[in-house]
This record gives sequence, C-alpha cells and structure tokens, in this order.
Amino acid sequence: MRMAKGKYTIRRGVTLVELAMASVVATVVLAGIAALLVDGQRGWNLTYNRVYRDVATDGYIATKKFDALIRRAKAERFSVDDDGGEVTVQYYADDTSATVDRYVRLFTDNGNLKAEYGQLNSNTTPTTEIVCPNVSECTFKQIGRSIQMILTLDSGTQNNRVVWSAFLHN
Amino acid sequence: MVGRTTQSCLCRGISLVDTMVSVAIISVAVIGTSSFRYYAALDSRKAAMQITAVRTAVLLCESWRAVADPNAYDPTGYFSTDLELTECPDGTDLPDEEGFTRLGAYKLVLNNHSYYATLSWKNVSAGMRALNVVVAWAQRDQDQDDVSNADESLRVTAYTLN
Repeated sequence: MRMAKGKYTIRRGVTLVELAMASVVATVVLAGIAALLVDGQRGWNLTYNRVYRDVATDGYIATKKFDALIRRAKAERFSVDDDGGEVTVQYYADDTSATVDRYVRLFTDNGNLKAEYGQLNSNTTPTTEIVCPNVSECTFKQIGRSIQMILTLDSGTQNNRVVWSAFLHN
Repeated sequence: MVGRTTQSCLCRGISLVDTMVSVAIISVAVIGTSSFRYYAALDSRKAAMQITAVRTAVLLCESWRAVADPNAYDPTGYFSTDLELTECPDGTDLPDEEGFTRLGAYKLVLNNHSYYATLSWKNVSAGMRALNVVVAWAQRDQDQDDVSNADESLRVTAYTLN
C-alpha cells in the first residue's frame, strides 16, 4: 500500500492593503479607458452628425432643388413677393412646349420649404411637395436675372445657414 | 490500493516583458483608433467650411453676373439686411493672371465662421468679361477673426457679356 502523493504550492495570498491598492490602480486605469472611449464616441457622433445630420442633408437638397427649378425658368416670368417669403417662376413643360405653360412656387409653410407645381391657364389642381423640413427662416431675393435664397435650418439641436444663387437662363 | 495523486498546476505567470509588449500593442491600437477619429472629425469640419465657402462664392458670383452694371455691384446693398456682410478693405490677393481689376472685398460671417471674399474682373475678349470671386477662410486658426489668418481659398469665375 502506497500513500497518496500530493504536491501543493503554498501561496501567501494578498493583504487588504494590496487589494485596496490594486483596486485603486485598476479604477484609475479603467476610468481613463472609459473616458477615452466616451470621448471617442462623442467625437464620432459629432463627426457623423456634421455630415449626415438633418440640417446638413436638407441644405443640400434645398440648394439642388432651388437651382434646378430656377435655372430652367423663363427669365421674364418670375416674381418675388415683397417680404421675400416666396418666389414664383414660370417655365416650359418640356422641349416641345411652344409657350410657357407651367409654374412653380417656392414658399415656407409650418417649418417646411415647399414647392407648388401648377399649370398656367388651367383649372387643374396644383400639386405640392415638401422640399425640406426644419426651416426656421427663408428669404428670397431678386437681383437682375438671378434669384437668391437665404435659408436657415434649425432642428432644435443643430442649425445650418445656407445661401445660394441661381441665374435664370431661358 | 493506490491512492489518488493530486497535482497542482504550476502557472508560470506573466513577466514584465509580457506586460510591456501587450501594453505597447494595445497602445498602438488605441492611438490608431483615436487618430482615425480625430482626423475624420477634422476633415468633416474642413469639408463643412469648404462647402459654405463654395456657397458664398456662388451667391456673390451669380448675383454679380445678373446685375445690369457689373461695375456698380455692391453686395452689401443687397445682403447686409439678411447676412452678416460687411466691407473688408484688406481682402485677399487678386488672381495671379494679370489684368484683373479689383471691385471690392467683403467679409461674411456664416455658420459662426468668417469668410473673406474678393471680387475682381477682367475683359477677356471683346464683349466678354470674367467675373472672379476669391473666397478665403482660416482653416487652421478658426478662432482668429482676421483676414491675415486665412490659409485656404477657392476661386469661382463666371463670364458675362458686357
């Protein structure tokens, strides 16, 4: 009969002071890492919002739409109302149109920039589309054969001011 | 009867060199990620400023092109009520090509940044005039509100019949 053979290592263990010190050091390191991660995430959100926030993308859409509508308009057929709140331009429906037979009106309504499309000398009901929301202020100006748009977009947390000018070519 | 043999695992542990190597690897990863995010944020900010500068240049160029008398164009008369637009006598340099005549220089504050626009023109051929708008802004020292700190610029040219 052979006795069981056991190998044991004798560990000293940790004292309360060592444990406390280790906890403090670990806390400091973890706090630093957490701050770094939070700051990084915040910076990333800021970057992302700067590019893809509503007021940024709305600004692109508004300028593109404004440019497209104004540039195809008939130069002699446009009007900006006295306070600059809306602009109406007339244009040809397509290349085969002999006369100017369409109009579009840009105006703001309930914080939206809207475009109303209609036919001249017709009883058809005009159609309206929202170009972009988050509009807090929009002013149109007319200088010679060009129209300017000064658009202020405000989503409550972010704002963006957009200026653009379009020349009437036709 | 053979008794059970108990064997404790003797772990070697980690040395200081192991620790330092792992810390170095983690540091490279963290610094790399931070650097990527930092430059992404910086570039998006630069892009936003450049977009605003382009819009400013188009606003001035297209409206200048549309006036009846290009020599008498004064943007402050049209936009000072709606925009923070003032005359700025210093302005920026004229284009390198010779023959450009300065019309005026203006400062526009838009989206909390200052942009400095210099308008100049040149008769390029009989009846054809080039209208030139140079917009400059301080990309590096964004808090320095002075034209001398402008380190970025772009140029938009339109042509009109005179």
